[in-house]
Amino acid sequence: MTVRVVIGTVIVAVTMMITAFVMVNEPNRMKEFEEGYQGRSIEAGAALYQTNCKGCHGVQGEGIEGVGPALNARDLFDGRRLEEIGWAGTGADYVESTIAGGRPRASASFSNYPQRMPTWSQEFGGPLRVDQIRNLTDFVLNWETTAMAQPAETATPNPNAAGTNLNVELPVGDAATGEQLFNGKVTGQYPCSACHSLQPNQTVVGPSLAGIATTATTRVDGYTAEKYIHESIVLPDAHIVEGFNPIMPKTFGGQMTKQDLADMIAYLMTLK
Amino acid sequence: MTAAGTAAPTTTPMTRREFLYYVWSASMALFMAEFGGASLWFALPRFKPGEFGGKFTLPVTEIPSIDSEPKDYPAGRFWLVNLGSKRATDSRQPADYPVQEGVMAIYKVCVHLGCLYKWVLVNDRFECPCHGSKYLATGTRVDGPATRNLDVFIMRALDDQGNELAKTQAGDPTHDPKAGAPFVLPSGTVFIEVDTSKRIQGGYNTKPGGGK
Amino acid sequence: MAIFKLHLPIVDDIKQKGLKPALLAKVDDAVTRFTAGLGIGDIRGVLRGDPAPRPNPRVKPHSEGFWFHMRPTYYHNLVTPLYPEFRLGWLSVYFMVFETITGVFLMVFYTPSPQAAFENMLNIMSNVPLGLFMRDLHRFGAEAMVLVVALHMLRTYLTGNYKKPRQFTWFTGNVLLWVTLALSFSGYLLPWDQLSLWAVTIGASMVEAIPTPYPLNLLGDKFFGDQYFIGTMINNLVRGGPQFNDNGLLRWYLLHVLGLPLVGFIFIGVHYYKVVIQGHSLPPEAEKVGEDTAKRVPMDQRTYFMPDVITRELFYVALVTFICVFAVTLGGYRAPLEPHAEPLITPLHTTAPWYFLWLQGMLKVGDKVFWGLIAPGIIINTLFVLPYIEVGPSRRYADRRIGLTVSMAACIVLSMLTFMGTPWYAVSSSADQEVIAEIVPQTHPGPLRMTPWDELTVGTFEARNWESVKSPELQELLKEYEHAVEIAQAKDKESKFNNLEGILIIEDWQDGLKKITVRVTWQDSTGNREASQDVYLHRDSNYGG
Repeated sequence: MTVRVVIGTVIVAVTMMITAFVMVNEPNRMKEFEEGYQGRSIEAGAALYQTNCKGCHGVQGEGIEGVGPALNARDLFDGRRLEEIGWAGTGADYVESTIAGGRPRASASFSNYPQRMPTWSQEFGGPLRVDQIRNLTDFVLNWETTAMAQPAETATPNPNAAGTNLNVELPVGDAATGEQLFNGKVTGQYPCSACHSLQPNQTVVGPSLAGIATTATTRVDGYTAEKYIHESIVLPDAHIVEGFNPIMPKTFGGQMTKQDLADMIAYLMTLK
Repeated sequence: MTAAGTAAPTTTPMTRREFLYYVWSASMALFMAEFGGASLWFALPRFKPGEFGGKFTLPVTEIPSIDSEPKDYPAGRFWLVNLGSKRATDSRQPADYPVQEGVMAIYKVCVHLGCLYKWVLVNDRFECPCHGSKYLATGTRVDGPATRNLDVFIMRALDDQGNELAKTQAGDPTHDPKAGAPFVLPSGTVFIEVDTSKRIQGGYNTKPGGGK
Repeated sequence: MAIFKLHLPIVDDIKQKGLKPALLAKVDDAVTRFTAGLGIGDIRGVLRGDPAPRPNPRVKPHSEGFWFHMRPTYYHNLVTPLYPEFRLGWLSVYFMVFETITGVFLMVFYTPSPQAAFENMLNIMSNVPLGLFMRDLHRFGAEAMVLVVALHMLRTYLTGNYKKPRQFTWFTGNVLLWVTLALSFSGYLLPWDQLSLWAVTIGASMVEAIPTPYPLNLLGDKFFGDQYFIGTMINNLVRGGPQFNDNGLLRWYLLHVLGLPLVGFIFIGVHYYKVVIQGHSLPPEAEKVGEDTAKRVPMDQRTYFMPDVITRELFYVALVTFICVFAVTLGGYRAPLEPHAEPLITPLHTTAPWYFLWLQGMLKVGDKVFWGLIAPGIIINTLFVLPYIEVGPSRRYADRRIGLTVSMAACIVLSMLTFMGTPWYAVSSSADQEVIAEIVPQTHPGPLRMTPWDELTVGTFEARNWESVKSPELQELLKEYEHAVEIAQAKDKESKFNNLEGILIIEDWQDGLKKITVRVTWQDSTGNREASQDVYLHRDSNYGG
């Protein structure tokens, strides 16, 4: 009986010591746990990004011209993008609310991204839960280190872009590549065939481009066929064909490289 | 032994077994105390930064300009005031509570019975709609049934590395004029941090027109 | 001049006897009232081990007090050693109280809503001091309780304590068994992670299998457009909808914290009351066949509650509490938390909690109505009414050979069914998925996630070249990978997977984040095939290991 009392006391003392040990370690453990789950949130976000976001924003967040802005970009983290759009809250809030609500229309200075961004949060009719939105936000924000390591630069457009300057010097174009671009086979971008048929007198959305090489010379006085085609691609509203509306995207100048443009012109010039 | 056990409990000497039982009970009592303390620690709410009850870190640009009207910061439940010479030499300020120049974060809750007082521009003072307590921008009570000055939160001025440059002094303002007093923001301040879990109660003030 | 006189009896006492004796008498009086009959001297007598005085004041807390009223004043000497009861009934009550206390602590921080539940679990484990400790204790206690209650039932059966006059006690005990299992099962759902949701979905799905008999099914078809309407209706009641959702979680939470504990405590009361009023049965060999002498304990066979039994009980409280605390701290027991519940994705190898694996095993045998409802129903109901059908008068082991053999066979069958319920039996998808699931399982972290992050060096690694890898942990991982590939290849009897090989591709993906592709390649009749799974691992996400 006495033995039980003694062992009982020892057991209580040992339990107290273990509990005290746990209590002392607790603040550290809680912090480690929180960091651990932050890590797991980023992991989940990475997986969600691969499934849902890379198609428009690029596999490594580098953005796709004309489709989705870069996320792994310095201006997202150094405050410039927030300033440009006049966002009053934190960068984290900006990322989270954009993912949650989507973008029905491009923001002002992002007219080169005409596509709508889908709504993702279930709160607003999208497919993802609130915690998944949080995971994606954590993943995007984790690009801060690599993004801030990029050199600071002003928001210049892609230096290789064809741009809207008609006097820019274009390299030699390859008609075969141009044909592939026309049909969207190379990058999936700008399939002109989606709007322009190659059958004479067949209108899909825009005017048929059958025999464009010949037609182009007659459209504007003083323009060579190449110049007309060049202008029609980068400044579509300049000379609208009668009976059509000015709805051709104006972003091709920013999206196409000079080589792309040269190839496209070369191809179209083969359509006599 | 007969009923002698009940008669004189203090006279019979303690046996070893009895003593060991007492030691065991003491250990169990200590364990209960440890358990109680742990339960308290468990149950006390903790606040994340940005949550009322936690710390709010604001850029120094949020501070209103000197002597301008107080700036409302509803998420943290405090007013930000920047007292300059005009407010420091306000004739309505009670003599018992002289004012230093500088910034402070005043708790939005009236110290009378808990309503949120308003800033009345026309009268250039805080006025509580519930029972009419009135306070100057310095937080000092000048009228009404409240019995003390407004409470302030401890505020720290931080540089861009997060080092502390200045801090509101803790203490009892009734006896120590420096406790809860505003401080001038040192140069190099990039952030201010208001800790809404640390509140300094305003000094005792019940005289008509304000004062101890 | 005194305007009014204050008459305090204590002052009179002090005047009469002196300060110290008067105070002592007051304290003694308070202690006597508090303990319902024992003064300071009596308590000291108990602690010293003095023989009980006559008349014995030590029975008064039992006869006149509330808390000790249901506890017996004395036990028979033959039931106080470890055999025959092994304290299992006592342990069951201990764990019920233990779970209630730890559960109430957890209730402070938990909200039963799918939007908040998982987040609350993370909060408890990361922002509440001792939250993880409390949660692990609660989970450990739950599993221990199921085990203890089951063992208690087995012991009661083996010693024949369900026989006359204790049939109703056995009945209430069976109710308590199911209350315990239901408590454990309902608690399983509350964290709302993938394991919770799917394990409980599987368990509750048997309710849907409840058949709607003829002619009700025709009526159902006519009025509800659903000829299985009874099953559907009960399923909707149980799950709060066709699938678990907000309603379902709330219902199971209310069951877990209110409904089942209420039923449990009431039935514990009834069960224990009957045990005490009839007395703990003596070991079978100590009694004449057919006689029950438990209540009449001769004076020389008595072990008194005070001090002997109460000392032992306090000792066991200390010991079992210590075991629980040790288990969840130094013992390394951790309650798992899988990723957030996804109602649209069922993880591969989802499994029921271990105490329901036997049921899952039965469901793999055949038709879910028979094996999921009818057979278990028959078994469970037989157990409930066992004392009313098994009426042999003798509790002696030698006289109950058939019963003991049947029970041992039942235990063996239960173990087999439990094994059959595990994911490794009769549930497998294709070899490539099995290999991938071995390395990155969907129900627990698994070997890849538990490899130290820094050891996962960037590169492409073939499983069969595991020996050439320098890092021991990475080598271990690749070895396991190769082992899984070999097993899958060996199981492939139809030669659908030729030259099965495993590759691991590790890339740096983001700051502190690596992307690991687990790829399996093989050849079949259509040519070269491959299957892969991408996993992202962050430096901080500590999966253990």
